Amino acid sequence: MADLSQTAPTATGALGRGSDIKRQRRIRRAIWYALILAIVIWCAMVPVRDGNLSIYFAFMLGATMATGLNFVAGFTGYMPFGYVAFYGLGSYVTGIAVKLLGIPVYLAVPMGGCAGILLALAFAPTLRLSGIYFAIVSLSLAIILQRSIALMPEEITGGSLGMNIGVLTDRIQGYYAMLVVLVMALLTASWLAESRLGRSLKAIREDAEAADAMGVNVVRSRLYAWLVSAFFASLVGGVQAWFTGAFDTFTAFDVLVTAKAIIYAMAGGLGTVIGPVVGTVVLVWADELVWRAFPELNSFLLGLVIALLILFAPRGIIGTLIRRYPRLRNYFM
Amino acid sequence: MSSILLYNALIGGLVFGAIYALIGASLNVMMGVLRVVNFAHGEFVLIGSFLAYSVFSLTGLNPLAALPVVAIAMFFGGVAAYYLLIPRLRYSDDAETSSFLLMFGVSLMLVSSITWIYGADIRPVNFSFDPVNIALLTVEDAYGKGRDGKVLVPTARLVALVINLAIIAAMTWFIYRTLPGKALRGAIMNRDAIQVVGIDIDRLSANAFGLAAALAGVTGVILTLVIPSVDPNGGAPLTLFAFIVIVLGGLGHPIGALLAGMLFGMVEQFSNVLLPQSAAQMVGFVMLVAVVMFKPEGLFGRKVMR
Amino acid sequence: MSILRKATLALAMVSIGALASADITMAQEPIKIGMTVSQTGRFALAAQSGERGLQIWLDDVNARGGIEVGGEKRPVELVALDDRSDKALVPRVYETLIKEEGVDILFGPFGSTLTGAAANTTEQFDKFLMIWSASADSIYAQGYRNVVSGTQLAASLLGLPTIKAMHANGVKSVAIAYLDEPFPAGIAKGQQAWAEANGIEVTMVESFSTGTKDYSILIQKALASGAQAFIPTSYEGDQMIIARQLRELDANFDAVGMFYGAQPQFLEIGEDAEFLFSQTLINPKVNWDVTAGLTRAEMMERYEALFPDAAYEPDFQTALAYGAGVVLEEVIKAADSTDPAEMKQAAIDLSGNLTVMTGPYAIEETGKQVSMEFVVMQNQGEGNLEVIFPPAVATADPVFPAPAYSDR
Repeated sequence: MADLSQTAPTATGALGRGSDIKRQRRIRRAIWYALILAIVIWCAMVPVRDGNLSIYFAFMLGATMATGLNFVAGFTGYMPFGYVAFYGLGSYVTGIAVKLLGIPVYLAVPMGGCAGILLALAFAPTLRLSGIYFAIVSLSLAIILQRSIALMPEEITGGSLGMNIGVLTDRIQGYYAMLVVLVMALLTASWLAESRLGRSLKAIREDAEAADAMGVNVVRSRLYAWLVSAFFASLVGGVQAWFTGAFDTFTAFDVLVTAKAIIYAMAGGLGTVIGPVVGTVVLVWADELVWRAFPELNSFLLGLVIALLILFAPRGIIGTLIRRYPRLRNYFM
Repeated sequence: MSSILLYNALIGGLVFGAIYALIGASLNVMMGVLRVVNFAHGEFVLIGSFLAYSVFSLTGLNPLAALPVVAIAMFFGGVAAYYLLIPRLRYSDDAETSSFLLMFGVSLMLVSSITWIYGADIRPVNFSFDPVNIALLTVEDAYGKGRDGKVLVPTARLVALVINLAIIAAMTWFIYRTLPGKALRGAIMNRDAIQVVGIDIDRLSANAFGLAAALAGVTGVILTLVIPSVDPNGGAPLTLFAFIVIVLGGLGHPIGALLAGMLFGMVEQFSNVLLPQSAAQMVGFVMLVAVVMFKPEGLFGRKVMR
Repeated sequence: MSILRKATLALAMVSIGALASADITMAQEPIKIGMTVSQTGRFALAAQSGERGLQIWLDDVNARGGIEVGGEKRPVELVALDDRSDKALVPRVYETLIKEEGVDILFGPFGSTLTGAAANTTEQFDKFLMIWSASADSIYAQGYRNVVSGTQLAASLLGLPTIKAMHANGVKSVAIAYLDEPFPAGIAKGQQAWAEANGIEVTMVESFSTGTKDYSILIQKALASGAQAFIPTSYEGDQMIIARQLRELDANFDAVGMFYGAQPQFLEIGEDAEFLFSQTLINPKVNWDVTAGLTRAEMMERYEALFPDAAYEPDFQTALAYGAGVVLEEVIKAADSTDPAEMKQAAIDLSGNLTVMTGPYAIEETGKQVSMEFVVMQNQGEGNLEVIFPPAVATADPVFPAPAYSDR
C-alpha cells in the first residue's frame, strides 16, 4: 500500500482525473475486500452448520492454487506445467515433519512452504527458458521429483501406500487452515497488483526489453513472482495433507492438479486478481453438478471446457467482460 | 552381468528407438510447420492402436491389416481437426502456449472417449506370429551354471522394426525429394517466406496436420505388435517421450528427431539393464532437462528456436 | 437352465425382495450402507465385479426380511457412488455418503490404493468400515479403530500359497518383480520374506512403476539371475502382457506365479495363460461348510439369476465382496447395534467362530484378516483349470516343471 502516495497527481491539469482514479481504486478495493469477506464468512460457517466440508475445501484449494499460479502465469507469462511439484513437495514435507519428527502440523505446513521456496530457487535457472521449453522442463522436473520420492525408503515416505497422518491431525483445523492460506493468497494478489513489483511484472510481460530499458530488474522481478507462487502451492499441498490425511506420489504429483489450477485461472481471467476466484467458483460448482449427474463424462467435459475456453474466450470470464465493457475495469481488480 | 542382457538391450533399443523416432517425427511436423504443441499426440497414437485392436478382434486378422485404413482415416480426421481447432488460435496472445493447453483439453476428451467406447482396462491384442521368435545367436553360459542362452528377437518386433524403418525411409524421401516435402521444409524454416512464393499456407498446414496425425496413427498400429495390448491411459507417456525426442533432436529438425528417437530408445533399454527398472524410468526426463538447460538447440540441431 | 426359467426366477426373486422390503420399510427404517464403485478408470472392472457380489448379499438379506437389530428386523439399503478409480476423489465421495446420504455403515472401495484413502475419512467421522478388497498390511498399521477386513487376507499372507506351492514342488530359487503399488508390493514382500525364511534363494527383487509396458529386460534379468521360478506381481492387465512377453522371449522357468492367472478374462488369452501358478478362492472344487450366508453353489446360482447378462462369470472379487457382506451381517447381529465401537468389538469376538463362503473368518485387533487363504490353480492346457495346492483340496498334480515354450 506504500505506493498510494506516489500516484498523487503532480500536474494541476490532471487533478480531476487523479481523484477519479483514486475513487475508482477505492471502489475496486471495496468490491475486492467485500468479496474476500463474503468468502471468509461463507466458508467459515460450513463446519458450524455441519455442511459438506470437502466441496468447500476443493473450492478453497482450487482458488488458492489458481491465484498462486496467476502470480507466475498471469503476471509474468510463464506457464509452469509442473506447478504440482511444489504442491507435492509441500504435502511430503508436512507429512514427514508430522509423522516422523513429531512436529505440530501448524508448524509443519509453513516448513513445507519454505521447502517450496528452496525448490523454486533450485528451479530458478529454468526461468531463462521461454514459452514451451519452460512448460516442458517444468513438467519434467515435477516427474523427476515424483519418481525420486517414490524411490525413497518406505520408512520415510510411506512407499507406494503413501503417507497417512489422518490420525494425528484434525480435519476441521485443516479446513480453517485452508481458509487462512486462501485469504493470505488473495491479499497478496491484490497487494502485488498495486505494488511496484506488480507493475514491473506487467511491464515485463508486455515487453521485456522495454521494461529492461526503463530500469526494471527483469530477472529479479520474475524470480520474486516465481518464489511467491511456489510458496503458496507448497502451503496448499501441506494443508491438503492436513485435511485429507492421506496422499501418495500419484495424488500429490498428479498433473491434473496443475491443469486444474491453470484452467480455473484461465476461466476467470489470467492476469486479473479476481479472475482465478471467479473461475474456481464457476468450475468447481459445474464439476460437482457434472460429477453427480454424468460420472463417466467428467473428464470429457473438463477437456471440452478447456478447449472451448482457449478457442472462444482465451481471456477468461473477467478478461472477456472487461474487453467488451471497458468500464468494468473500474470495478474489478 | 551377463552379456546376453546387453544383446537384448541392443535389440530392444532398435525396436523402441524406431518407434520413438516415428512418434517424434510426426510431432515434429506439427511443431515445425504449425507451431502447434500437440499435447494430445500420444492419444493420436492410441487411436491407431485401438483401431488396430478393433480390426483384429472383429476379423482375427493381423493388426497390420489396419495400417491403410488407419492412415487414410487419420489423415482426413487430422485435416478436419485442423480446420476445427487451429485457425482460431491465431487470435490468442500466445499461440504456442494456447495450442499446448488446447491440445491438453483435446487429450482429456480423447482419453475419455476411448474409455467410453472400449472400457478402462488394459486389453491384450492376442495375435501371434508363427514362429513366435527368431534366434539370432547363442551365448554360452549366459545364465551361469553352464546354462546357455539364445539371443531371440520376437517375430512381431522384427516385423514392426522393418515396417517402421520402411516408413521412416519413405518419409525422409518425401521430405527431401518431393515438391510438397520441400514446401513443408520451407514452412519449417520460414513460414512467412514461403507464402511469398505463392504457397497456400492454410492448405499446406492442414495437409501437414493430416500427415502428422496419419503417421501417429500408423505408429499406434505398429505399437500393437511391439506391446501386444491396448490401454486407454497409455497416451500420456507416449506424448512425453515424443517431446523428449524432439527436444533432444532439436525442434523442427527432421533428421534430428529420428536420431534422437533411436538414441532415446537405446538409453532407455540400457538403463533398464544397468539400473533398477523403477529408477531407469527417470533417465529420459533427466536427459531432457539437461539438454534444454545446457544445449537448447538439441543434440543435432543447428538452429536455436527457444 | 433355460433362459425362460432364469428370467422367471429372477423376476420372482426381485418381486419377493421388493415385497419383503416394501413391507418392512414401512415398519422399520433401513440400515443404510454406503460405498464407492469405480464406474471408470483402471479399477472399474474389478470394482463392478465386487459390487455384483454385494448385490447378491443385499438381495438375500432383504429376502430374509433384513437384519435383526434391537429385536426388530431392519432391511438393508445400499448407496453406491462413483469414485472414477481416483484416490484424490475418494475422501470427498465418502464424506458425501456420510454427510449427505446419511449412511450408517461404510463398505470399502476396490483395492488397497483407494481403501487407504477411504479409511482415513471414515475414521475421521467415526464410522464403521467393512473392507472387502484391501490387503495392504500398511492400512492396518495406521492405528484405525473401526476398520475390519471381512474377507480379504492381508497382502503379506495373500501371496504365500503360490510360494508355498513352489516350495512343495522343490523350487530352490525365485525371482520377484512387482508393480510399485500397495497391493502388489505387499504380496511381493510377503513372498520374499517367506521364501527367505524357508530356504528358497531370492535371486532378484525389482519393482516397476505404473504404466510400464515393456517387460523384456526385466524378464531377461530374472533369467540371468539364475532363478528357477519367477513371480511378477501386478494387476491383471499387466500380467497378461508379461505372460505374452515370456513366451515371445522363450523365457522358460520351472514355474511362473501370476496372481490373476485363473481369472476368466485372463484365461481368454489362451496359450499364454497355461501352466501359470495362479490364485483364487472361488472354485467348484473348494466348498466350505458355511455357518452363515449362502454356499458357493447357491451364490453361483443367485449370480446367474440376478445377472444373466453379466459379461463374465463371478470371480474372486465377487466372492470377496459377497463374503464381506455376510460377515457384516453377522457383526451387526452380534453387536445388536450399528455403533462402530460395538461393531468392532463384535467383529473381534466373532473371529474364529464364523465360516462364510470364502472360508473361515479370523482377524487381528487391527481388523487385519489373517484367514481365508486362497488356493493355487493351474491351467493345465485347453483351459483345464485344476486346484494344485494345498494338497487337502488339490484336484490334480501340478505340471512341474512347466514344459518349455518350444515343446507346447
